[in-house]
Amino acid sequence: MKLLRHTLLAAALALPAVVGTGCDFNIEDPNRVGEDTVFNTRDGLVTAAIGLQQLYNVQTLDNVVVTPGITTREIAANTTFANLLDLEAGGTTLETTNANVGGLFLQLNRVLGYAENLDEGARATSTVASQADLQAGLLALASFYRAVAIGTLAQNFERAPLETDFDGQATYASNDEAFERAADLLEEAERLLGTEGAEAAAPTPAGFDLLNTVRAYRARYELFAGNDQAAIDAADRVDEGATSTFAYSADARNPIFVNLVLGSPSYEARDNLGLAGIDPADERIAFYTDPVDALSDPNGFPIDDVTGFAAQGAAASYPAYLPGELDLIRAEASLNLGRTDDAIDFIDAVRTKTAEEDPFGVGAGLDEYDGSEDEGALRQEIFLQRSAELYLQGLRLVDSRRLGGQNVGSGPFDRTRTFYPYPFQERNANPNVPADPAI
Amino acid sequence: MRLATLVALLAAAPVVAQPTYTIEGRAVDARFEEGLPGASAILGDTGYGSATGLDGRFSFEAVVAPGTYTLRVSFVGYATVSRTLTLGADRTVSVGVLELAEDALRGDEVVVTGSGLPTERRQLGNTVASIEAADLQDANPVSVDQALAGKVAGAVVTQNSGDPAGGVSIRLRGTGTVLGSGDPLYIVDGVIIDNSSAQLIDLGGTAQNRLVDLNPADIERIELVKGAAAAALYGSRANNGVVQIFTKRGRTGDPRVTLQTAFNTNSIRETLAINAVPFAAPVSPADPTAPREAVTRFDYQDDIFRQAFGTEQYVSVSGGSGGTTYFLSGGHLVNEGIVNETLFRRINARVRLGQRLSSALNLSAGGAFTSSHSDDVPNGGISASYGALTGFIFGPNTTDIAPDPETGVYPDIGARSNPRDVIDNFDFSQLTNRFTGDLQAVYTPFSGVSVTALAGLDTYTQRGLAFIPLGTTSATEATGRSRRADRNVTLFNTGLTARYASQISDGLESTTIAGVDIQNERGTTFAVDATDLTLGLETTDAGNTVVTGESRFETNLFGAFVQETLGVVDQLFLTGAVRVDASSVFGEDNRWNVYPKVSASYDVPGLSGTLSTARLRASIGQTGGLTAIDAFDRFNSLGLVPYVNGGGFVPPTVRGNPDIKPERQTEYEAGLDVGFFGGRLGVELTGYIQNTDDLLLLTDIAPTTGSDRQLANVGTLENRGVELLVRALPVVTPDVRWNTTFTFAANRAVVDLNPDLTEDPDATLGLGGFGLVSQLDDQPFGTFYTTPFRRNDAGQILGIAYDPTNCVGDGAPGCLAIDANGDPVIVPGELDENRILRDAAGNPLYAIKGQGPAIIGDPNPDWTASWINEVEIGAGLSLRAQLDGSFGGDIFNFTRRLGSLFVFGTTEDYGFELDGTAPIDYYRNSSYTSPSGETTAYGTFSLFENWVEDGSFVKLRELSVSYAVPAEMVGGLGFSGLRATLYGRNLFSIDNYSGYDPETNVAGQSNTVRGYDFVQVPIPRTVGLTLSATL
Repeated sequence: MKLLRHTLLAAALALPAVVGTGCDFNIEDPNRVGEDTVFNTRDGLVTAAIGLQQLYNVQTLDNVVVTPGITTREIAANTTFANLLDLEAGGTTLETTNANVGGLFLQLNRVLGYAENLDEGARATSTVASQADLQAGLLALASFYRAVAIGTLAQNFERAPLETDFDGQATYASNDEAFERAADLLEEAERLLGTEGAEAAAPTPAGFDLLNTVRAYRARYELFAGNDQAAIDAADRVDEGATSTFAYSADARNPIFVNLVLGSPSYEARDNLGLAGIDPADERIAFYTDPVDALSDPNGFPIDDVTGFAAQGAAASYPAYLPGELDLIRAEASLNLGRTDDAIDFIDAVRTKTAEEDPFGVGAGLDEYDGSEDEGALRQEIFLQRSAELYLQGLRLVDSRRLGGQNVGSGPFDRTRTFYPYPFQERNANPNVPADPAI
Repeated sequence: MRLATLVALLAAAPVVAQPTYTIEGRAVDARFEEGLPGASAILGDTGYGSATGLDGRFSFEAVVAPGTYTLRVSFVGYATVSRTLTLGADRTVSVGVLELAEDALRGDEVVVTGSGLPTERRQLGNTVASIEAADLQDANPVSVDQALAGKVAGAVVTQNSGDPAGGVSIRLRGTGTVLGSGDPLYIVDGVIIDNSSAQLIDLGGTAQNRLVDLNPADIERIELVKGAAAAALYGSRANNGVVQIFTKRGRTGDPRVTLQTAFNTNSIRETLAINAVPFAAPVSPADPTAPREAVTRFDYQDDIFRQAFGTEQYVSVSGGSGGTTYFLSGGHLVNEGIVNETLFRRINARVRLGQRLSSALNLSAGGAFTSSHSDDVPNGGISASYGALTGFIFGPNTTDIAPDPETGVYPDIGARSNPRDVIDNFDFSQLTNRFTGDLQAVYTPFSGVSVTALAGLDTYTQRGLAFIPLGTTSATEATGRSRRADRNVTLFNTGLTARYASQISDGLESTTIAGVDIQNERGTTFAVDATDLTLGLETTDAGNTVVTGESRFETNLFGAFVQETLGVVDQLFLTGAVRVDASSVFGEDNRWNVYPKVSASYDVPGLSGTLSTARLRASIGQTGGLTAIDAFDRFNSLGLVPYVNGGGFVPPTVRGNPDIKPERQTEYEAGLDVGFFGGRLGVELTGYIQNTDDLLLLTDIAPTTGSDRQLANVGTLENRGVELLVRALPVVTPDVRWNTTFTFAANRAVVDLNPDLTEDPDATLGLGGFGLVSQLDDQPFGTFYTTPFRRNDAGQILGIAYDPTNCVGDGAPGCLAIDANGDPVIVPGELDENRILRDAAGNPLYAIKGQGPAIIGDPNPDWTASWINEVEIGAGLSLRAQLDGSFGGDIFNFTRRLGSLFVFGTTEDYGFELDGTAPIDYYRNSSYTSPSGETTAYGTFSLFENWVEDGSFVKLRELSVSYAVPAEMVGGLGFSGLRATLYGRNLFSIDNYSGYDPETNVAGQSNTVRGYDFVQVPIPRTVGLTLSATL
């Protein structure tokens, strides 16, 4: 029994020795950082705010510009990739599994969800709440990107989620409701930036003017939502001489440059900015493109080399909005309010602007408008001016719908879709997806 | 270090003075009464014992308490003989002559794997395959897994690359996972070892697997269990089965020195048929008689492959006395690859010491150091495009690739790097320094009770260097690249197992085992990638653009198990076991998992005559799988990205899964073992069904959640199969002994991507391989899923008739036969021996693309078989031959596809187009739109079904002739034994595959992309001579 006692003793000694070797199941991930750290600490939230800007400016802006750019003929596919040719063909050829439409939808929802997380964290974290300027700055940035995500989704899809849902049950709102929501979020952002020091406390890079950008985007979405006077008022509050750009570097490359210029791109700019009715003397054509005698392959559209903001290099900045958009917002809102003369004045302000007069050097250098003053003609003119002034800003699809500037079809200047179909992946997983639009 | 304390405490247990007994006897072959050398005689579970000498005699001392013990004398291939000894006043006990009879079923063989502690095979309800050193080493394999090919029913062993340290994959009864590694868990002397296949440098898809660090010459035996029914005690890591390797250890006796030297030569079995047509494409397809540009065509394979040589030296010393046993070995292997400038060098040192600390306590410690170095040349094209063979296949083969004799400049050959440039100037290498060690203590206070404590460590640093100088012919790396990547991995496991055996009543025996174990793994990978090199420097300092990356991991696993075996009158054995374990990689709520097992084995009593033994066995068990789960997949963590005003966190596209849990396998296994003619013929038949539920897949989630995909336990995987093993001794005379072993296995694996949906026709999961390999719902594992031929309802391949009078322009619309309406003339045809489609009259047809994607091939073999014959003649001569066969698996011959296209045109296929065997533009992608607007795509280059071939083969895997020089002839030289073995590996293959070798895979040890041929190095034919001397 002595031996048995030894056995038991050995086992008793050994067990804790073995078990006690430190079986820690809660090993933290040293390669990435946990949600708790990011959303519940001051430094984490500041870093998240920087990441949110990277997520949209670097990872999403190309989707926002390129995908509807092909649909509305700003650019042509010059490749054999089926997803791009299907997108260019549009109509019923465009399937719900298209990678470009899927990418646009996914990236905007990632931005939306992440901005919501930032908003929630900045409200709930005491170390941020105790610092009013930082909290206001972070919340304003979060509201701005939520508005951009919702608004851009509504620019491209008939209905859009107003917020993400972690459990895959997100509901959809109408186009008008989505633009209204975007405008409300920007109103909130503008109010937050009224807090003293808020704008300086928001971790934005040099060149990005948060307050003026919020006001400009508010003007944009008030207009899209049908709040014409609010749109004019917001536009009037933007500093006319200010510029605001999304910033890039060698490590955080300009995605428009990467897609349209770097290497052997799958896209080329269309001749005459893809506009049938543009005045050949319009100096913006030469600002945005460099003429070459070439046709896209395989669809045979005349193409030029892209220049302008898209072609200044991987580290070059890209305008967050263009000052010319403000005059065109005022023109359209005035027209909607029945003030035709004001509308024409604002149109002329853009038409006659020279490169030297624009902070970014975008100038049409045209004569004053001398066409018909009936509403339809003026809407057409506003579409034309917006399409030329705001080339590759991701706005032509929503403008074309709102102003009726393009036919829907397969002609070289037609838009090939009105709204995109909802991605298959979303339909497969969320029971609340609306029916796909016919086209 | 707490274990050391434990050992010290155990050692300090008071030693009771006990008498020393000498036990002696002789083991002989029952048939011929000849001594059996090398059999082992072991005294119960005391740990005392010895091996028999040349005449079968044994004698050993044992310091034990007086009492009753069982002496077991066993020898591979023979039934074990047991004698009950009563140790009392007589200090010398002789058991006399023990007769051992053949037993082809090896039912008495003691196996360890799956059962916790040594157990006779016949007591198990599941199969355990075992392989002895002698079966592995005749053909002098470089790595252990390579040596396992064909040795085990139900193990599909594939050498994926013919590089001198080329990677090997083993699939036991298929794979138990889709996303993870499908290779089994490896345990060496109780230590869980790493067998990862890190691609630190990009060699085109292939990688070494780290089992290559183990020297096969150090191995004594290997045991394999193939699924959950047998492996439940390994819990969450056993879905792919377990391979346990036991290295050699010393035995009491005089020092035994073995010297071995080997020489071998490697060569390519066959090269690809190249395009040798001495002119380029016709200037005008409309006028075949127009003059053509003459070109000289080269076979770059002549510049790439060589006759390679290898040498190996090995020495081991073993013995023991006075309670101490030892085994020491050292080895040095240099093996050149068949691709110029490739080489593998391995230096091994191993030591094992056994020390009896008291009559009740035994200690064993082992350590092994390995340094593995390879000089590599990139080949293959699944990732990097700068390989030597890659340059050969992309061609075109119309440039002399030798450097200019005056300027030294390597000519640009066209699409890819000049193969000579790659071989001469690229500098790729890998070095691994590895230590594996273990410390084990066995405490046996009295008969029937034992406690084993074990601690094991496996740690290595692997370094990969890749240098492409500035200004080579590589289009993608023209500014040069210098990469260095270091990977440090440490595995630590420790465990304690206690056993209690007792006789409950007459005829009812009970064995209880309980244990705990802990497994910790951690590692770091650090890489520096420098580009835009400055001329002259080879280190990463040369780079003007430098990117670094670091990644770390750590996991912990804790497990505890208990097992009870009941033996009823030594005929019926029932086992029940349960393991509980927890791993840090699982979600917190799913951390703890329970894996039960029950099994039964019944020996039919009272058999004699023709049917000498019969045993029925059945087993059900569960295991888990975690190879698809990375250390931190349970977290929805955010990654750091650079932005203009600092680093920012961004959310992952793949959402973390806090509920992640192991893939759970339930296996049902049943079988029958029958012995005939007194053990001369044995048949082992096993059937199994493995259901793996909670299969991990990357599932799409709604983008409006803010994420894209998630790793989730959603699918199921089912493997079903049968295994047959037949062993026989057809001829046994005093002079000739013929041993034959035949194995057969068939397995079918089907994956259900979403069992919640009864029908989910849209479900496909891309698995890689340029998007051509996918998992379809309710379909076999990892099929080739892409463009098929167009076929009619009868299944015949359709083609458009060829009309040489209708050749227009530069091939478009080709030379299609068009009817009066402008529609193509479509008729059925058949592929000829050159894979050219011809109609019934033998006229060529253009192949047309069918509706795709569709499953066009399945790389999984339907069945595999092996036949091993061994003939021993007289005292010294033995012959051994092993044939391996694999049937029904497809190969995707991407290599041949590339060579067929006009822009590359390197293989004979394009030559067929040039010399008129095939119509003009037969391969090129083209389409024709008929006046009705219907577009027909033709041309076979992207008609992928054309490039899927049958990969069935029968290979002469091993052939060896061995001669032991009689002792009296070598005695004068100071040897006690001298053996010479002439061997060959992969000498020939009978197959219909047009590529280098049907055993190949460019995706290396990838679990999902199998049978994919893209100019990786083929397995060489090896011929060698080994001399082994015993002092």
